[in-house]
Amino acid sequence: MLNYLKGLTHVTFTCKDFLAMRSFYRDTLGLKELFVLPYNDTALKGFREGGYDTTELKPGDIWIVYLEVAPRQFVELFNLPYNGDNETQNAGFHHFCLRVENIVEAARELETKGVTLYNGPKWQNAPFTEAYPENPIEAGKQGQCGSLSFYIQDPEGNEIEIMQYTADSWQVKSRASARVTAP
Amino acid sequence: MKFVEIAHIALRSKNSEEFEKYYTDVLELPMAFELRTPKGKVWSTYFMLPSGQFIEIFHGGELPGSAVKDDKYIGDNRKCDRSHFHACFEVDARHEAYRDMAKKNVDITYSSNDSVGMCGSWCSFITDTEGNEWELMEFSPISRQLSDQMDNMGYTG
Repeated sequence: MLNYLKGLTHVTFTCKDFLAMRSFYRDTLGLKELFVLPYNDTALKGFREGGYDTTELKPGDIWIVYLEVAPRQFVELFNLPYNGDNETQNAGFHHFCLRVENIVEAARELETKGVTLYNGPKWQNAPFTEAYPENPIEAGKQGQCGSLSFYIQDPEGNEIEIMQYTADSWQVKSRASARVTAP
Repeated sequence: MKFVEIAHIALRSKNSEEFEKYYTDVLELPMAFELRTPKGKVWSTYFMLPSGQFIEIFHGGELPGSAVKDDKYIGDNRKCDRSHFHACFEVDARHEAYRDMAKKNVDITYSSNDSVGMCGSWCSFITDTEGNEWELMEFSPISRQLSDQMDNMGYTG
């Protein structure tokens, strides 16, 4: 293992509807907004050269907002429209996973906010027709890896897995074998 | 709702052999476990980071309990055509990372004068074999990301 490589610190999304994405991660998921960075000419030129349409953007406009998931871990949103329709079944990026301590509590909060929960990625699964079970282990919701999870989508359609580890989780066993002491 | 961590990032592969080799040989991540279809075919592989977080790689093919016959993307995974822009690893010795990538003949871009970005952190970039960009970020004493935890960031210079 590389001794300089520590862990995942952020995941970044470009946004067609930046305000909706900012609101989703800040207000729906409850992430703390840390800081905002403005566009400058160099950044705009780089994105134009990278194939992005920046005609609606100018120096001084919001470029980046950083939101905190946990200490040293963030979601970074770019106020930058991408060209395609973000067909999530047809991209290299599959999903990212946010771990919670209590998946039932997370499900209840999201259900109250009107977020639809899925058993897996939306392109592959129908939404839950009932509330997430009060006792998900008894309800047979453990995945093959032993963890509990459901999926939601952000306003751009990016898949987010919400996961709780259990005593059976292979992730927990892998960490124990490697003597990882992270949370 | 309290989040503990970004537990993993999951990526699809067109060429899973080459893709896995990148994560095991270039990033030197140990394989943690595999998920298999009911027919016994490897469906996804988890690689573990020192932090206990994971990279999950999907190999394509038929998905359990789904009508999807082959979970591989079509097209060239061009960054400007999708919402996912990049993901980022924290490093704590950027110059070592630059040397290591150079030694492995992996292209890495970074500031030639060792300056920090607008966020106050040192940023460099590599790209995996499927075209997914990874940022390597080292926090500095002026990192905006850690501005309310400066006393605890463990910076050693």
